Amino acid sequence: MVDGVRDEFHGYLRLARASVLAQTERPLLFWSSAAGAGLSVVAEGGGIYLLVHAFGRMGGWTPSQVLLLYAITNLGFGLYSTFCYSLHSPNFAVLLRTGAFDRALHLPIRPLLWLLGSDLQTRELGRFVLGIGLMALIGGDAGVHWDARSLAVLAMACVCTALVLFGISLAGTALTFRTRQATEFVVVLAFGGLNLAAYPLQVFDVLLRAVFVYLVPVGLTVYVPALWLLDKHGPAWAGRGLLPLVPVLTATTCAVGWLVYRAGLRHYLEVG
Amino acid sequence: MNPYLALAAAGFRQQARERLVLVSGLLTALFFGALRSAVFLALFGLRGHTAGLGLAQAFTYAWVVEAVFPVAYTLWGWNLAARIRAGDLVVDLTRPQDAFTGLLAYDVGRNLAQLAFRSTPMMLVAIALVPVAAGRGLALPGDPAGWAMALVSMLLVPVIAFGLRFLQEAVAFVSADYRGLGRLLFFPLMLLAGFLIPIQFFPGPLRVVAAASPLFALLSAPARVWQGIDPGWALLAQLGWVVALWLVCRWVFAVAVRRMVVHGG
Repeated sequence: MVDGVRDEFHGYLRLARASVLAQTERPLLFWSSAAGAGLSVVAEGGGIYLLVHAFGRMGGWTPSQVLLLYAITNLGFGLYSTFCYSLHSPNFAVLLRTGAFDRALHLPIRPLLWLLGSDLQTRELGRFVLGIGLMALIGGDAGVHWDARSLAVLAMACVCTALVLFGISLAGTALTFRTRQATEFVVVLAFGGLNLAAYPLQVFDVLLRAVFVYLVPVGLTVYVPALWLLDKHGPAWAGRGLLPLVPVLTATTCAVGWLVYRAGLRHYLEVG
Repeated sequence: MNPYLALAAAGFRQQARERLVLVSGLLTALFFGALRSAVFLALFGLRGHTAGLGLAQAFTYAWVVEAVFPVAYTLWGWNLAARIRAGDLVVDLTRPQDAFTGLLAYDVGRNLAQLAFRSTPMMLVAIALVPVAAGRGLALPGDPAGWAMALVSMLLVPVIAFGLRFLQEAVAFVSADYRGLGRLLFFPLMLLAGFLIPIQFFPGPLRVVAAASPLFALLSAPARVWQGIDPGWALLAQLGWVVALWLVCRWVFAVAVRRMVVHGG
């Protein structure tokens, strides 16, 4: 069993290496895509900053503090997009319709590992560089004291955000197996939640907060660590004391997504 | 039947047949429109006006931008570039009608279906439900002339969108890495067009650049016509950019086709 797992892991690494080499074969495309990913941080972050700055504060948070929330969502999305691009609903639907996923079912590697390894998005390098730069730029102004603990909390926030998006996408594949079309509800839950989490959650109404803090915890994985970093207490329903709950709900989301994916795969009929 | 009308009708029928895509896109747009409205509601709070906008006008901006976005950034965004690289464009050049106008007609037909079955229902839902949910409605045209201008403004968007997308996809005539340019420019163009935030919130010099660019005619101008902020000038800007883009795109197409080499038999 250990040998089997090791072989599959080596298979994943070979796929990942091939994916990276393929993308760097065309330098112009690679560097322009990476620069574009970086410019997305400038454009979106700049837009949020200008908007909140015009009003002075949002829910008591300064523009830099709101930008910290965006920075966490950005890095989490970057991690997700780098490793889980093929799982993103529109891309997964294309793999199903073209039969590429069916061919993967006959490979000596788990289909999920094939999905995760076959299309690594190296262009997200631009997003990471600018995203980390943004974090460094606004962190001090936002009131974050950078030390080993705060960096660990930040890393946890980014990884958990990426994993929640991964869990939602996994669950979405079950519907895509049946419809062969991009599943908009995945887009709404994952990226709607991410958009929402770029702002202080206490300004939204109860229904949005309930859905995107506890049901689809992408709000929780961003907001609660941000409270911790900013030394804010936050509201009772999502205070900084809930920090230990972040990895728990993340793991739960991934587990649910995995179970739904497995059920969808069991009933999947190949395109032929 | 006029060949261009026939192509437009064919494009309309093709897009209208993709009912699942239209319905799911409508639901997604409703969600993101609601999300944008929630952000503005939180920001405006007790303040009356900021950057020349009130809450009602901010709501209108949020919903008009979501209604226009699928027309500006279409699901078939790179089809023309792929056809250029594959050499399939030569088929359009052998047809009896003008190739460029044919491409425009088909694309506009598809987008008219999006406007009819996605954007219009979305706006109707927003007009009906936003006052109930938020306690304040959208800023809407106040008279029949205003509504007529709003309709014309929305109908001009597919033409402007085609022109801008054509210029982006025309890079495929000279480079196989056309997607790289698209990815490089996507988010800055989204910001400049006013999709991320209204351009009224930009600092002075950036606001001038945004207002002077053809992207203004794509998203910000329709929003201003609906909001009643200098609707006449906004509509005039759109018409001006339709003419300017037509001339530029025709010139680019003519130069590209003259120099194009198609491999294969």
